[in-house]
Amino acid sequence: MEISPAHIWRNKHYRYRFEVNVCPKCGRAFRENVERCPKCGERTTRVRLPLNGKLLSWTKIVQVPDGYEDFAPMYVGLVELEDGNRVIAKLVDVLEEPKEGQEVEAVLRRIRVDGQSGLIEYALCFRPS
Amino acid sequence: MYVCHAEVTPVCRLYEKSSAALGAEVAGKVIRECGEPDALIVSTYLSRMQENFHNIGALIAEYLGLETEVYEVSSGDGSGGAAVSLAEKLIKSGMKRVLVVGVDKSNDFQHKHAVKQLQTLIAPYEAVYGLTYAGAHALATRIYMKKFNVSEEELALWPVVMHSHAVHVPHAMLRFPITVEKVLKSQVVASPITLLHSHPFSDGAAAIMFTSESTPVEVKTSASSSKLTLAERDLTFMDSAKKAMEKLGNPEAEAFEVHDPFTIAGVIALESMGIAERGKALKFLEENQEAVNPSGGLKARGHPVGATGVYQVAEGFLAITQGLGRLGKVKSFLTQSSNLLGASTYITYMKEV
Ligand SMILES: [Zn+2]
Repeated sequence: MEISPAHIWRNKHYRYRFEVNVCPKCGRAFRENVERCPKCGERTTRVRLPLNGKLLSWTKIVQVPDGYEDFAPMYVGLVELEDGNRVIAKLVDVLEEPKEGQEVEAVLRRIRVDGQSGLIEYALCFRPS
Repeated sequence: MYVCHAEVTPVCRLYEKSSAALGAEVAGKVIRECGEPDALIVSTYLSRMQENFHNIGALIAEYLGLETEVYEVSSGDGSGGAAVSLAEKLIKSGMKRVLVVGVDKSNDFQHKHAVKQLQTLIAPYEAVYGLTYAGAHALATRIYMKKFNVSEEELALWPVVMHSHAVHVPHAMLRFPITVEKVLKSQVVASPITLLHSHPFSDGAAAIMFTSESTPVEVKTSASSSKLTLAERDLTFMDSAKKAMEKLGNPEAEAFEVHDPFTIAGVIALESMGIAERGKALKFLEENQEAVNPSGGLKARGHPVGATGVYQVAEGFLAITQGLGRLGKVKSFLTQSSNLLGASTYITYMKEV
């Protein structure tokens, strides 16, 4: 079994909504539940990243990991969001070869299926906008 | 700190031996040469997942009949460099001999399993989309090519030179020459990275005895770290490599072993270490072929992941004491071992004394 309900639960804010925990003092953003900045000790605030951005880099992954065969080949992109934050996520609805600089928008998609338990994992991905 | 002796196994696919057996055998040769160590440091990465066994340091110590201190050191694909770096700290603390053993296995299952196991280097919130070790380097490659206006043909020089070295290195894995055309035409792993831009899946073990007593090869180490999250970094530069070199006083060396699981990593390593100017690593390689990865690098010597950094230092020792491949014999040598394209970097500087 590869997909853990506990993992899905604790990662849902970032995976489903691009919510990060930001430290008001040092400005660093954590992509998971970090309630106090480990460095400053300040209480972090949950901020939602923009859902639009442009593609900085991308790759078409042909040699996929075990468990991802049904998704091969997969496109993964490095995206600069409208506010300047950068995220790595899957690219979906890729009909023609992606281009650096291309505008993209986030959509919720299925990213993994557990063959044994049948659990399905969803996450925000990007498609051309 | 000094090197007393080093031994390596040929890097290959090795189905008949476990990592504990492999590591203990190569370590035994070093102990018989130098005497028993005050501490054993073992580094491995994939073998834990390949063999479903996470206590290899203890078993290697048992096979060696040692009752000394035993540690396992882990820092992703830079684990071997991390082990060497810690050895120097133990020697400086007053130990007389410290044995570092790097050992790893990648071929016990089909490659798609090693591909999945290598994803464990990447932060979960980036790996979950299926981003692979090759994929992460592919993102960096595309940015580098655009930023410095470098073509796929120019990048292909790297693996061609690496293979030309490995032909002359008995312990290397891919001992055959290749051409630029072959690199460009080989199958895509993660675009724009093709198979011939990629490290082979390797098994292997290397052992080095470090000592506080003077020998002909003196060693200094340095390490530094940066961020793991790929999206948060400049993927064309490794701050950790620059800082680690600065801490060593930017020593000049006649030859280098840099960490090149994929072409882009070697290119960025040379530039981050200040050996080549930014955007000019391939030009540097063209003009200094013998000096760069005389073993063939991760690309052609091979990449037994947790052992690779130990191989590099053993190769530096070989180059200084008896000569290595096309390079021959030198008096000074630098090695660079990094964790996921520079999340952390471990540098070793060796010189003849
Ligand atoms: Zn803070």
